[in-house]
Amino acid sequence: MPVGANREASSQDFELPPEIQRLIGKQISRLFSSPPVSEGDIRRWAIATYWPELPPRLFWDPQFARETPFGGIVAPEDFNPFAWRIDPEVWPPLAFGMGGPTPGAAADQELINRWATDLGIGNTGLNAGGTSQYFDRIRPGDVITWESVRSNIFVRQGKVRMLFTETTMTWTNQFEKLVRIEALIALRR
Amino acid sequence: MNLDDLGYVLYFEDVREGQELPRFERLTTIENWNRYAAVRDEYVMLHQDDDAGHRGGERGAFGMGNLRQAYLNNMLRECVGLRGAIRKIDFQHRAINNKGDTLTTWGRVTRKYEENGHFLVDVEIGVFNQDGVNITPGMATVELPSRR
Repeated sequence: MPVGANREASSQDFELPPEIQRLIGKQISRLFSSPPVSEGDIRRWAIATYWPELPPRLFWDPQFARETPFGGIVAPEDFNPFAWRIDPEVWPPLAFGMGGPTPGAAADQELINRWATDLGIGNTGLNAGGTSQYFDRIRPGDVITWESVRSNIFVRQGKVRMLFTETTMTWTNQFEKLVRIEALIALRR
Repeated sequence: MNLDDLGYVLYFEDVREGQELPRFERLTTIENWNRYAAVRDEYVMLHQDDDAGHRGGERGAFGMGNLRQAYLNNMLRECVGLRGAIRKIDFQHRAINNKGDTLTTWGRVTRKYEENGHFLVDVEIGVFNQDGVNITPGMATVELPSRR
């Protein structure tokens, strides 16, 4: 199961109609920012991903973390600062940066959904994996901004027919430093 | 735990191709998944409710793919320590993590090289269940300090 926006076409792939092909490379959301990250957010994330063992002190002990090369608490690389966010249409955008869903993105997704249904693809959504690249670590107080693009769409016939949609998200912090690039694939079957 | 050891350093020169990484193992149940769902605000019924899992064509509620990514990062992070870094992880969820599965992460060094002044190590990775099935194969790249 190849991943990545540069994946080469396979003879197993269904040909995309022009209206679907046109959606590849289109922006989904722009410059949506997280609330400032807290030490508590990081601690809870670390506890959950190491449970039932205690997570490394780097993620919850400020005194220990100060003595590390990081100089303070940092988040695990897979930490998600966008969890528990308020809908961008409700959250005052000027408080944490402008942006939100790109106009038309919801309609584009609905078009994909209808096309997949017409192909006889089921309605179960799964995480098929992807690629994550890590750059600057996330620290307490950081505000992370994301921009996402629909980077690939393909349909495969296996035991059942499956729709794969890849979304590439680019995260930067308040210093405009790159934090993460993720290309994640959603599977619908 | 290496990450709790301020003196632990894994140098690029001390890694050899073919070397396996220490593993990270977890028995996965609703207890893990509930905690992970809580920090992600990911209350998807497929991960919470057996009936929803059945309707999705599975044995019952099943584990999140993102949690397997976290487990792989936990393994890599413990290996590289406080002075190394995970640079890239590429993974494919090929099979379901069912309730009660014991997941064991695995990694084996495939290549070490210098690139633009960075000392990098490629690692073949996977998440194996108790039946020996690799449900999340992939590759990772880590960066290590060098003695040079």
